[in-house]
Amino acid sequence: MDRMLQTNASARTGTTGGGSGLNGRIRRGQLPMHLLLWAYVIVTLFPLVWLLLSSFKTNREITVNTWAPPSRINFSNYKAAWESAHIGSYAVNSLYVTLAACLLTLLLSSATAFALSRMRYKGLSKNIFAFILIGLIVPPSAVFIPLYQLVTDLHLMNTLRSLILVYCTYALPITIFILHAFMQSIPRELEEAGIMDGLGAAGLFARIILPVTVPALVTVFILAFIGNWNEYIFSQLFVTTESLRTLPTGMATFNDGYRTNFSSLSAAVIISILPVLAVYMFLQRQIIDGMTAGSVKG
Amino acid sequence: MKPALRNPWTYIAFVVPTLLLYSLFFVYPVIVSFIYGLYRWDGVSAKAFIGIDNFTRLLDDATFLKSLGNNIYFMAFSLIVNIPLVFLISIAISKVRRMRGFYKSAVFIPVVISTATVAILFGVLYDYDSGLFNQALRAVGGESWAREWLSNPHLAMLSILIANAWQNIGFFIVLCLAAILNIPKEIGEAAKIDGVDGWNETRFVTLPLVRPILFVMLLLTVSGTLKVLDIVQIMTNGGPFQSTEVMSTYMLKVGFRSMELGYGSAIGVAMFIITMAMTGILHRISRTEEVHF
Amino acid sequence: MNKSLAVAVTTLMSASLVLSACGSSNGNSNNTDNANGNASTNTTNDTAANAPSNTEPANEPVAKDVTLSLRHTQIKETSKVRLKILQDVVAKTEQENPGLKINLEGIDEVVNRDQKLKAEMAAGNPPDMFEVFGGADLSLYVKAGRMLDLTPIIEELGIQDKFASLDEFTIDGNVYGLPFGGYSEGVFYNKKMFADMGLAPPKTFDELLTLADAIKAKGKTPFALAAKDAWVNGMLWNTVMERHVGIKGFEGLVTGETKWTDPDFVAGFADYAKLVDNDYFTKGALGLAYAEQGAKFLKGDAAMVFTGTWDANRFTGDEAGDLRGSVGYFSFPSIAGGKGDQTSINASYSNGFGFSSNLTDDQKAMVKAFIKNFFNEAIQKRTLLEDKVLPSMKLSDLSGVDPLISEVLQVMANASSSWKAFDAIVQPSVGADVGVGLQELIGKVKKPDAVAKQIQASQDKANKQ
Repeated sequence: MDRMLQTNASARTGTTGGGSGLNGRIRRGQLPMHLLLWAYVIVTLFPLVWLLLSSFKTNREITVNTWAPPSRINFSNYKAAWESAHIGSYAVNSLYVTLAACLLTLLLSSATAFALSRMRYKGLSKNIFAFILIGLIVPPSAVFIPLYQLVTDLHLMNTLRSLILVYCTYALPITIFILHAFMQSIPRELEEAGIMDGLGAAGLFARIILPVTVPALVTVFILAFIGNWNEYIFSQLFVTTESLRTLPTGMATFNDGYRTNFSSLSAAVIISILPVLAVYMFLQRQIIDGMTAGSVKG
Repeated sequence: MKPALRNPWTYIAFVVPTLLLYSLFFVYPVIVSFIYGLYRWDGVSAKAFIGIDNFTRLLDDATFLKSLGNNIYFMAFSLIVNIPLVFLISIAISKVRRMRGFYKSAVFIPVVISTATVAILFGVLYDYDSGLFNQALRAVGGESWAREWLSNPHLAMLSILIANAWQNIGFFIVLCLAAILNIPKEIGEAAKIDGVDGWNETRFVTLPLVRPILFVMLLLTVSGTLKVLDIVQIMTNGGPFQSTEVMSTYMLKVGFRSMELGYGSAIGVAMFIITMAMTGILHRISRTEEVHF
Repeated sequence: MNKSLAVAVTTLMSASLVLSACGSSNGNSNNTDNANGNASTNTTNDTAANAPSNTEPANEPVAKDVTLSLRHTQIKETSKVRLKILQDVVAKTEQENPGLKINLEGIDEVVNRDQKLKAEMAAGNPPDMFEVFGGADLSLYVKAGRMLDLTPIIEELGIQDKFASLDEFTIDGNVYGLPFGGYSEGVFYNKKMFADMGLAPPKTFDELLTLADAIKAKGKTPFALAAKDAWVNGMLWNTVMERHVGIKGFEGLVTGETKWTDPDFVAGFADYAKLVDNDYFTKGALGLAYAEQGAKFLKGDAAMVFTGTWDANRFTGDEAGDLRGSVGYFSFPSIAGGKGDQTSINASYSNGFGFSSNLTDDQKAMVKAFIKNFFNEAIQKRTLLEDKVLPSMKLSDLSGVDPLISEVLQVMANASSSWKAFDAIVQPSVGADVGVGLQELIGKVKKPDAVAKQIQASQDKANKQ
């Protein structure tokens, strides 16, 4: 409550004297920031650049001249990766499972987070929220055997639906947790206008709260997307049919723990991260920026 | 109170589907696994009920206690090193205008890579002879500076932590950045007018406003590091001589390889209780602080 | 136990073999689609599974429709050759038995062994045919009544005496599984490097020490070692220890007749520690994954590597580069004064196929047809040639075998006896603690007698249960 008041107070003073002294393309004060960020980015990206370079090298080159750039660019690793890892067909399954699970997660978790954070059933909500948060602390590896038996009993074995439901369930706690935190910090005033217009709870959720929560939705969407996209053990446990396999099975082709085919693996990794990066770039440019800009102007 | 937000049917429609799915695929298996903890069971043959023997055995199990210690080390490192770094980078990105999009994408890239790949990648970086870490150290201080990263019991855990930080920080930065950028610009500008600038602005304006996200990050860190599995499993699998064993790697080894699924389940239950206690403490702390604020 | 895992997952194939396999399967190894000769009838696995009668309408047989599921773990790039052999056998069996449909399903080795198969066994619904490990895993499943007794089948087929060893699949005189390959363990060495340094394979442990010192003096590592996974260290140590205590010594541990703290056991630990303390192993070995030791050896950093014969495939492949053709193999030298059989070798046939006890009579008949087509000399020979896996059955014709493989077979033929690895003898928990103890020796944090004492404590605990 206090925090909210302070925010409003500052915001009010802010509006009276906005737009003071900004000029120049890089403000002088920003140079150290850029240096810091560049240092961090170089450290972060170096291993990946190396991975990219390795994807053009032969295994022998990687073993002997680990850090040298490739002697020539050749795409044979990509060809090998695409063919022997079945990337084409597996990617379709992965995309379907990943998107379906993510959308289901978003749908359920945003509704639940809204009900728990903004609807007026404080005591009940608090207990349900705590109950769901337990999900954050249980290691999935502890439930392999019971979960396996459950999926068998539900006759979901060997279907992609089993993966969608399980991925969705295991993403729910963290998603609800993050969305709940965001929704809690939305000022009450936003709702008031909607209530004046005669919106009900569902209307408030869809018209007022959800649009404001988009940055958080994007974040959790990306998080769930990555988790599902890379998940391996459940997909091995629940799906046995070749034609239903997901992408990480293809990746694992090259890494048998005893001899890693690094050149093909690096190519396969590069291929597999492209869709995720594309999703991320698209969402972060289109939505996060747009929303923050929009909310300031609005 | 506002009637619009007190509609029981909407509440039920919004909450119950989640609870159903969650109870079915999550709570139920967890309860079953709790029950396994009360048996001596190899996973296939008939179970033998032994009450809480598995749990009392935990208290004398030196490897389990060592694993717990490693989880706590993991947690402490992540809290002390990762979180401040996340803030530093997020604030830096939020303060620059040019290339913000580039920075935001660049820091995030490691997050999209699977843990298996990260582990393999860092295995190459840590190699004694040809690894980049040692090549850099040798260039600076000569041969004696080279280290056996993953094979020295004193460094192995740190090596894992570095790889883990590399992989995970990006996500936290994005989370934190979203919160910072969500602060209306007017607040920052107002602060400037009031003569607050630079670090003071960060300290007194930004940090307090991203407090909810700080709590999110702390909770994710605590729960995540206590149940950490894959990166340890793939990088060292608990070695050398169990110096990097964490609770979940130990649980899997006991439960599936040593064929003591009952005892393995008991370890899982213990992990659950420990994590619950820690997050409970965290929650308590965050609430008392809120009052001060 | 872990060792056999290695064989299972790997049985490493050379890149050249992989490439040739690609060629023969149109570069596409979609597991099942290629497997079936009559490809027109089945588009995907699952449709076929749901509709087992989906056979060619043209020559609809009078035979009954029988469906069998076959779980394998050959999903890695390195096991393409073995998969192809399996697919060919399946196709042949289906062709010979109209109405039969065998559905192959490939699963990750570790997931299958640790979770999936175990969960299925507990629930009582394992696949009809599956890869299974002899020893502890098998006896667990037999005890639960899940395994088909194969004794009558192999007697009818007359192959019961054709196997090199069925020990690990035999429980109370009945056979519950059939090994498809085997391995032995010994020292692979760089012939070129040995020649350059004027060295010859050692006959005794002391000669080995002299030899290793000479290699070290030339700036090379005597033994490549990757010690991250305990079973890898266990290999060389196991042989050193067997030389000291004999296989009877290991067997006595479980009954309490012998102890890890007995003088000859401690001497075995001490000799192993000697190799460590003299810095004969790769630096930083504890952090290296198994694959690295082969890489270090092939790179020319190390003169020797102690490993299983499954690595022969890799050492004769493309990755060997200039070393191709100049890798040799010898049995570990004898240790003076040891109680073991000094020219014996560790050999194991624990990697095989098992079958569900739930099968109907029709299915059993088809299982018999599969066994007949898979476990015969022609397939074994093909596996040896293409996959470089040591045959689990006795072969009469060894022509056309790679020189290194011949050397390996020669060494095995010359061995006075063979024994199974320690982790197939002691309890799993003790095996795990031996792994920890060895890493402690390699990390030089504990003395041999302290390690022996600690392992005995674990042995006592396990014997009591």
